[in-house]
Amino acid sequence: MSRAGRIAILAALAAAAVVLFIVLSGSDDEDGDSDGGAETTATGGPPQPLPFEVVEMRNGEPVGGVQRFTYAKGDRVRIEVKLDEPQEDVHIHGYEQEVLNPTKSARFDFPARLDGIYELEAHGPSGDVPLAEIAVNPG
Amino acid sequence: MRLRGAITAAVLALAASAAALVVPDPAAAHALVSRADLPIPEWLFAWAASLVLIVSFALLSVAWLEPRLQADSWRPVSERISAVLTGRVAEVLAGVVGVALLLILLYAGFEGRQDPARNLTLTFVFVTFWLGLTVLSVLFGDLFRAFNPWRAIARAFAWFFQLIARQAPPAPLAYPERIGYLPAIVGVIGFIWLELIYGGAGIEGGLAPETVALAALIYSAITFVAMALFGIEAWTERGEAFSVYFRMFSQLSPLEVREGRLGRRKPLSGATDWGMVPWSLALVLVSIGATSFDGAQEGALETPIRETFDLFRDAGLSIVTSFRINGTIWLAIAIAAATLLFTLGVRGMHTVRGSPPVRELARSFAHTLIPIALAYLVAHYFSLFVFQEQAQFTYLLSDPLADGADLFGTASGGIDYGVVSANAIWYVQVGSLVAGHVAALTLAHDRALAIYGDTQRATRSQYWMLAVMVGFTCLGLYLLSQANA
Repeated sequence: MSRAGRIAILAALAAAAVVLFIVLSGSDDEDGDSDGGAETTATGGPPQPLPFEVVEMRNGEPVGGVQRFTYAKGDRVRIEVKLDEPQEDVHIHGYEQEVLNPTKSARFDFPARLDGIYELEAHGPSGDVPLAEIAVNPG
Repeated sequence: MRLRGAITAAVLALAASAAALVVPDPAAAHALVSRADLPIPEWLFAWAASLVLIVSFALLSVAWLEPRLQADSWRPVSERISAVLTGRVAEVLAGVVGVALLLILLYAGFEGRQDPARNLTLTFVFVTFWLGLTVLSVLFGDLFRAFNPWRAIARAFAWFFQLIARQAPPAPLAYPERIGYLPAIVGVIGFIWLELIYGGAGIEGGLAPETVALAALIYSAITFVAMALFGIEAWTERGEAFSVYFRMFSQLSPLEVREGRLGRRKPLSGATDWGMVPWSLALVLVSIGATSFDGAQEGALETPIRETFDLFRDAGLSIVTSFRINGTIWLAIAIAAATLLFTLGVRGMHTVRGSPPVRELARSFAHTLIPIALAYLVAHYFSLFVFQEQAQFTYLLSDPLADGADLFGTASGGIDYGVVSANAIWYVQVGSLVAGHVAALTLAHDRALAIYGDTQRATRSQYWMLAVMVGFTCLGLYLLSQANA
C-alpha cells in the first residue's frame, strides 16, 4: 500500500473514532435528559424529596437479600433501616455515615456527593452484616 | 486482502474471548476497601472496543518493515549520576530500608491490633508493596533488586562470612537451569492465593495481619535456605518470587542497571529479553489469569462462581472451606483460559510458512503479554491503589499497630473518596487497556519481523497475535463493564 493510502486509512479511522465517540456518548446524555424532563413534568412543581427507601433486617439478615439503591451524584440518599433487634451501629462505608446503638430503626439522609458503590452495613450480635449497596453514578 | 485477513482475525479473537468468558471464576471481597468501582457504562465499553480495533488496524497499516526493538539499545548515563544512584552507599541504604520495612511489617502483623483495615500490614503488603512496586518497576527499572530485604540480609551475612573465613560462602548446589522460574511462579501463585482466596473469605475466615506476618516469616525462612543452597544471586535471579515478578515488569522500563552501571534504553526494548528462561511465559499468564479471576468474580462470572460454591456447600463443606476450594478451582480455570487463548494464537501463527516449532514460537512471544498483564493490573486496581494509599500515608503511617499511636500527626487523616471521580477511574481503566494493547502489538509485530524476516509472512503471522491481543483487551473491557453491575 502506498504511503498516501495508509495516511488516508488512518485519517478515515480517526474520523470514524471521533464520530463514534460523539454518537455513543451523546446518545447516553440524551437518555439522561429525557428522563429528567419526564420527571419534572410528572411532579409539576418544585422537586419533591424522594421517599425513604426501607431496608428490613430480620434474624441477622436483610429481608429480600442485599439490594442496591442507585442515585445520581447530588441526589439525597434517604434510607431507613428497620431492625428486629438492637445493633451496635449501622453504617455506610465511604460516606462515614453512622447511627450508633439503634434499637428499632436507623435513618440516613445525606447528599450523594461521592460516586462509586458503597456498602450499608450493620454491626451487632450477628457480626458485620451487609444490608444494601448505595450506588452513586456520576452526574 | 490484508484488511479482510485482519477482520477475520478480529472476529476470531472476539469469539475466543467470549469462549474464555463462559469458562472462568469465584467470589471474594477485598478486606480493605469500603468502596467498589462502578461498572464502565455501555457507551464507553462500545467505544473502547471499537477504538481497540481501530488502533489495531492503524498499527498494521503503518507497520514498520525492519525490527526496531530487538537490538540492544542500552546506553550508560553519566558516571556521576550512576555512582550516586547505584553506588555502594545507595546499595547499603536501600538494603537497610528494605530490611527495616520487612521488620516493621512483621512487628505490626504480630503485635498490632488484628484489624485488617486499620493495621498497617495488609495495606502495606498487598497494595503499597505488590501494586506500588509494580508501577515503580515499570517507571524506574528493577528497584526491588536494591530493596530486596532477603538479598540484603544474605549479602550482609556473606560479607561477614568472608571477613572471618576469608572466602565467600560456598553454594553447595547448582541451580537446576531446567526449572527456570518455576519456584518463583509457585511463590507468586501462593501470594495471590493468600490475598484473593485465603483472604477473600470475609473477616471470619479472613486474612488477619498476623497471618500475613507469619506467611512472610515462613517465606523468609524458605528464601534464606534456598539462598544458602543455590547461592544468593542464583536464587534471586530465578527462584525468589518477588524478584522475578517485579523484574518481569521492569523489563518495560527505559532504565536498567548493568553491572552496577545505570543506563537508558528504548522503552519496551528491554522486554524482548523476557522468555528465554524456562517458565517465563507461564509467569505472565499467571498474572493475567489472576487479575482476570479477580475481575470476573466481581461481575462477569459472579453467578457461576456462586453456583459451584453452592455445590461444595451442599456437599457438606463449611462456608470458608467451600469458598477456598471453589476459589482455587476458578483461579486455575482463569489461568488456563488465558493460556488457552495465547496457545490458540501461537498455533495459528505456526501455520505460517517457515515458522519455528510451536514451543519456541510461544517462548518468543511471551514478552508481548507483559504490557497486557500490566494493563490488567492498572485497570483492575487503580482505584484501590489511589484510595488505599491515602490510608497508607495517613493513619497507617502514624498508627501502624492500630493501637492509638500518632507518630507523625496524621493518625486522624483518612481516605477521601472524592479525590478521583468515577469518570476519571473509567478513563484510566480504558486508557490503560488500550495503551497495553498498543504496546503488546508493537512488541509482537517487531518480534515477528525478527523471526520471519520478510514482511509479508510476519504480517500474516500477526493476524493471529492481533486476534489474541484483541481477545485479551476486549476481555479486560468486558470484565470492567460487568464488575459490580
